[in-house]
Amino acid sequence: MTQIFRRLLVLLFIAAPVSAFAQEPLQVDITRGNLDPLPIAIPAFIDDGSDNARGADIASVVAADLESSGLFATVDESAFIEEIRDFNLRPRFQDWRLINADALLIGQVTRQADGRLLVGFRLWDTRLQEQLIGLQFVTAPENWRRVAHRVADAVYEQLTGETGYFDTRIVYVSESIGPRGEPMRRLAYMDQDGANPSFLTDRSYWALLPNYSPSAQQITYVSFLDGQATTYVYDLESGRQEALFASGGTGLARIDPDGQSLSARFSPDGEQLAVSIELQAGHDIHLFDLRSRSLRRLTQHPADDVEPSFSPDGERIVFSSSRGGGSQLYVIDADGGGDPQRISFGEGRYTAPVWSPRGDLIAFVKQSGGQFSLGVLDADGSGEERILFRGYYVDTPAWSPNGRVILFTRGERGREGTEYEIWSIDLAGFNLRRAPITGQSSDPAWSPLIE
Amino acid sequence: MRTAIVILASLLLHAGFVVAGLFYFPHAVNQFTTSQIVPLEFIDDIAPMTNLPEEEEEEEFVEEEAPAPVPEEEAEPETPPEPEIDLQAAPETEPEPEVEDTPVEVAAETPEPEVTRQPETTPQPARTQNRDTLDDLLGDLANVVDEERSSSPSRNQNRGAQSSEAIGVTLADSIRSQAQRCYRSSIDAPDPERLIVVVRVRLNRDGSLDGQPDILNRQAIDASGDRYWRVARDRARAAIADCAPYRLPAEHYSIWRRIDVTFRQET
Repeated sequence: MTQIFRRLLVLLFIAAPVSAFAQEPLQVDITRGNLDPLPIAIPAFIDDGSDNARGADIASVVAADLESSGLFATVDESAFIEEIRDFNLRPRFQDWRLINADALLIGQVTRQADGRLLVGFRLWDTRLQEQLIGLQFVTAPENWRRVAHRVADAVYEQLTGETGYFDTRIVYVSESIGPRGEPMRRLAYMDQDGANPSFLTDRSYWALLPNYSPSAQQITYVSFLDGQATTYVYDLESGRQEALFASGGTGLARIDPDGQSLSARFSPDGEQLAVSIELQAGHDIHLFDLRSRSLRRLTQHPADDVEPSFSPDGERIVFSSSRGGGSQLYVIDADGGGDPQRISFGEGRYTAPVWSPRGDLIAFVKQSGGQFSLGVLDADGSGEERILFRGYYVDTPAWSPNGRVILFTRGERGREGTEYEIWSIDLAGFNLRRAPITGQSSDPAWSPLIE
Repeated sequence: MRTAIVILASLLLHAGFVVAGLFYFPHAVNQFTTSQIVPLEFIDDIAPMTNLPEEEEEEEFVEEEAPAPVPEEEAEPETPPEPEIDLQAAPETEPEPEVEDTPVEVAAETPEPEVTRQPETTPQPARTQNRDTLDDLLGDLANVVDEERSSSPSRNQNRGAQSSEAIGVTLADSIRSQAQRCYRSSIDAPDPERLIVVVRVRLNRDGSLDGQPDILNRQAIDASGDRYWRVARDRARAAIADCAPYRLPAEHYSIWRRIDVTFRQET
């Protein structure tokens, strides 16, 4: 018996080294990597060399877009070895590896017979020596910035998996001081990168808290045109605007709220507005149907229910309410069924909830311990909240259409009181940046992707 | 006999038309070339032409007097886009033939085979040397790490002869430390735990890649249509390619000849 055991043992010892040569692939696990910005080289797009050819302009707008995301680092042009002359030739990858460009974007601008620009690009991975994507666009020459943003969106999407957000606009409140020293607040809008700014409202009345419709064609905002805060719907295409609740029941909603209405937000299908109105005691959340022009009350509580924001599937609404004492965040079904579920539980006042376009998170502003913070929490109330930024004053978070970046109003103590600027921060809490706006500004709203 | 001559003449005539056509319609030639080369070169030339609407704006950004009580911003007449669909991107001309040789040359002994496959352009030996030294430096670093690992007392003293398992663990550590510095994590994607990518890597004795690595769960990734997963796959492939060649002890080549690298995102 023991002999058998011994033989077995011997066999095992012989077998063990043999199994080492059994050519099973070696198993390696990699769970960590870097989160460094991806180095990308963006040479000037090839063009015919004329004055308005735009090859270099487009490349620099694309580069600025990608850099602003914090996820890309553009390689300095002076380091380039290969000069890209032919859009259709494979680049000499070793030249680009040498200067550590992991990605290479080359493009070409040609003027067609009809005068329009044909802009094509190819995105190469220099490590894989593969073209990742190649597209071309046609547009009117004066529209070259939008083409550049579209190129940046495609590159961003290809290399991060996220939908791009560069071909978008931002509407905001421009804050300034009038000739008699009075504060002025006017609606303004611009391209996402600060180009093409223009005003929407004039200086004779205050305008606050704009929000975009899902079509990017309309905005809602709070106007003091009538002397008190009233929600207006502004059509960007026609420039027409209409009060939702005008005095004496002359507004879109044929009621006289005899009180204030605040911060209406569109439903994801664009057919309804969620708005808080003061009809009897305290503000309540209402839904206004834009087609039937009917108003439906969603919450009914003596405490104020304000700042409603739809979930991206349109089925739920988050709002802030003081029904539990201090201001906290609650979620209610958009069809009015069920009781509001509280989702914030921390110390302090929670306000300004905005549902992420991805649906899983809600951005909020918290005021506690004499400080403001911008944070996100899980929409179902589970998990820990995450604070992205703390400061002297924080308000009005606004998501980028892909849910990766948050714009917000940031106030700092200045010589003449608090000074307001719009800043952005990545969802991961890095890449804090000031929006490229001259002068003071607040209340940002990010447009959906422009079609 | 006569019919033969007629047929011959007809053939010549047709050939003549074709040749003439090549001169008169060079665009057609390009198209033809494109359709042939696209699949060979992995050039995804499907280029949807998008017509961006024209916009007119920039009205009164610097406006001084605007007494009108109602905002007077004019409409932005956006001319309706005329969809222009052209799936043919600009043609790929002149595929450099040496490109085809890449996999073979990567398998060669010299770490920098690219130098030889630049016949017409000016070779840049100086730069290549720089790169060599850099590679060497990094490789040396990896070697030092390896030596430190293998000479550490816990490994060598306790077991006179390392079991193959222990060797495997050491080798895996070495490969991990060499490859992960080239790896861009996908930890910032939503639900990153699901983005697992398994890459089968075959190595030559000198540590260079023996052919393109295979993605073992390619089908699952492709079928998912998940862009984040596709990006994680490309990042894994790029990391493996970028960090090659790998510095590994030649005596254990049989163990590291084939490697399955599993990339996962740990939160």
